[in-house]
Amino acid sequence: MTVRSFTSSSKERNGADRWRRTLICGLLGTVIVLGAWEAFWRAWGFAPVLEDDLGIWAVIRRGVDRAGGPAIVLLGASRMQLDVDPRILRAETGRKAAMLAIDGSSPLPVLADLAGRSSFDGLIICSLLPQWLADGGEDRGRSARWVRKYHRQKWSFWIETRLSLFLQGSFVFRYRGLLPDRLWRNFLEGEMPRPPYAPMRSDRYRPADYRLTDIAQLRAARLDRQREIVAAAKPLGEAEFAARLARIEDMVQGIRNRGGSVIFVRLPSCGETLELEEAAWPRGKYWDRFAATTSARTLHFADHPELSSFDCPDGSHLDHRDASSFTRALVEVLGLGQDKP
Amino acid sequence: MLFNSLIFLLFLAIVLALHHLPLPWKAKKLNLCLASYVFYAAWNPPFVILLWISTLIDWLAGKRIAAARSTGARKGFLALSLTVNLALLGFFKYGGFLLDNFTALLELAGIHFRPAAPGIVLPVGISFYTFQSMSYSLDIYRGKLKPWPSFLDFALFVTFFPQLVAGPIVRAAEFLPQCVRERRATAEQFGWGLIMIILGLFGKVILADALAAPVADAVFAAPAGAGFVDAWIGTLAFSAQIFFDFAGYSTCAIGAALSLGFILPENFRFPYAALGFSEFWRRWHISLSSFLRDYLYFGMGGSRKGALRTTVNAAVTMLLGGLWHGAAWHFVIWGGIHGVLLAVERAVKSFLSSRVDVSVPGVRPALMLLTYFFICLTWVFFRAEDTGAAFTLLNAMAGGQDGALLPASAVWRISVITVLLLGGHWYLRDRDFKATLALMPWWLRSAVVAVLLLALTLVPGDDRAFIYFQF
Repeated sequence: MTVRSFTSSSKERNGADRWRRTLICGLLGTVIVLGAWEAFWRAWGFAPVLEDDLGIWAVIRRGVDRAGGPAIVLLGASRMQLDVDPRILRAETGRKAAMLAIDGSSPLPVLADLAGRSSFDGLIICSLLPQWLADGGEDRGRSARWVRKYHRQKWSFWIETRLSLFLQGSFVFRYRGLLPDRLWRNFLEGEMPRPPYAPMRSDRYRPADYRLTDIAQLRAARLDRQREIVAAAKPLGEAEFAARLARIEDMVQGIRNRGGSVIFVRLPSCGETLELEEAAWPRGKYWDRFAATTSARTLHFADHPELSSFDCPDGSHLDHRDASSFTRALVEVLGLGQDKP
Repeated sequence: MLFNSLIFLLFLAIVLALHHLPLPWKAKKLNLCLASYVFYAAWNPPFVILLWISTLIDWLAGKRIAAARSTGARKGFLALSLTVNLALLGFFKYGGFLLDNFTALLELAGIHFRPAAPGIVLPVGISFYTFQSMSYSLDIYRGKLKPWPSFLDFALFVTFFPQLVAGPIVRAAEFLPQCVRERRATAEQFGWGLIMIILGLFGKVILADALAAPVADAVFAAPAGAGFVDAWIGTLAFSAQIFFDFAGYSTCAIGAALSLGFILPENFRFPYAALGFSEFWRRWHISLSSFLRDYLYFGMGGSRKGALRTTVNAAVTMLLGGLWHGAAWHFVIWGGIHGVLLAVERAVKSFLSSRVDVSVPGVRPALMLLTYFFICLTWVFFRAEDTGAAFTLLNAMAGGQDGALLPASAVWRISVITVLLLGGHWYLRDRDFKATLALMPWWLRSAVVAVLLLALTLVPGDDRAFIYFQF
């Protein structure tokens, strides 16, 4: 095949030059463009963001079983991740806290895992939403999958996780909000992407700053989502509810038998979100019955003015400034601060 | 560890660094062998023992076959090699399947038997390395190869990490001679090898996982809800996904080996440009199809025993080829359909060749599209959850049910990918890909590499294993 003059260079007389030059120039081009991309988004106010995935959760989960590990474990979903700050908890109680709450899923699979497959003997503070108490399907959610996958991981997973966390914590371009399809959607909507309003810290706490988002839009979206959840709800029948309560009690006993303890908390929700939750899963029918049967301590935010006076900008989560105060108030109400050395 | 993982990048960098140290060649081979065991142990460390069993048995069997004085003894040692390898494969891969079918048969006979679930974990790559290891004993038995003097070389042949878990299935005669003298990639091989890794990863992460797989998954997860367009788009999506995924893996494997100075055989040659099904199998998963041809088809007599026997031999080969892919009846059906297609092609070939002039413009592209059409139909059985789901989707493809699963954007996306895929395969079918790329000006080639790398960096991708890892 004849090589046409405009496609060849007299300097590329052999394959060594050709592919070496292609690779080096390709790599250089990539580094230059990536560097420019990184600088551009940092100038727009973006900072490296950690992904809330199995990797980082598993690292923290593994630390729970280690000697010298945390004395408090926080379970729940996004409300626990946004409303309770482990650093404040440590400062107020003197005890290290591990955030094992998983956004959008029931804490019961994780509680069962800690009860049955862990040596943890400290305090578990478990945020229990009415739907996790009263609705079916807990074993199919993300928390159940992460627990199953956690116990199957090999040594290569831990190395991969550490490498991934390093990259996520170092570079803005790894943030999912800057993926091509998200940017394309932003372009079609005529708006620039915004930094996440609730970025995750390395301890999995997510300080939410609602000034970074359109709060009215977010509240409406959350309300719609809550309506979908309520519409799809399949509340447990009497026998199933009783069975679930019995299962939860077994988990609690499993922890207590090792010298640990469990406190179940109902974290705040406000306005229409609270009304929807109350209508779908009335407190008297579910939470109060649970509180009456369990041997674990329970705490409902509505019973304590110091916990129920906070505003939830999006209907179900606190702003990070309130989260600090809320965490201190929670420590006070639970009496945990008394154990501080 | 997956090729599209950070740990593999780190692993490859370390292996390359060690490979370029001023060490004796034997030490370098030992490094590669140990690195390959580490690579395999990333999935499940205890299963390295299976690799050792396969390696030891075939090493010893090969020596004994060559040293045996009687045909009976030679056959006996070959039988040992085949039995051990096929037993490993049979237990780990087909144990559950055999038990399920045994239970079903007893049920038909009115016997209710409920065994405990065996819970057998499938060791990754077992279908590949057992075949590769067996080929050594088979070639010695056939007199095509003499027993190799170096156990280290043989162990490296069985475990070489680039092709260990998903091929290409390499023949001993192709690999072992490369172990004699020190292998170190030339500058061209190193550069092209790394570029092949980038190309392969792009095919897997971007084209297969990010673009095609979500559409295929959506349709195959809910075949009863698929309409005519959904069913076809879902099938075309899977057709693209499996090619980019598997060919992407092979490209990475060949590139990684090349960066170390080893040459592995080509495994895909633009298969969707095939004109007919026998040509498809000369272009798709070439290392497996040639293995089955050489050791199974020819072993049964090939085409030397008349038309009927040829058809039977081809059918058995394809049925077993289907079963190799997975312990489920829909894989067997997939292989069986290919057997039927090959038989029909053989039957009509002589009839058509005298009546159809392929030099007429448009005839060859039409044959290509006709071949691709039937290949897509076979992919339905390959991808479907079970046989029932496959027939449901085929019904939708024939217009037998209404539904609307996919958004218009997905339909457009897969349509564009399919057109580019078929167009690309057609253009490249008789060309060398590397030589074609070499015709580009250097700045354009570099820009392409940069775009691929940027895509790989900015699109993290899902955590999807390569499709052929499950085989």
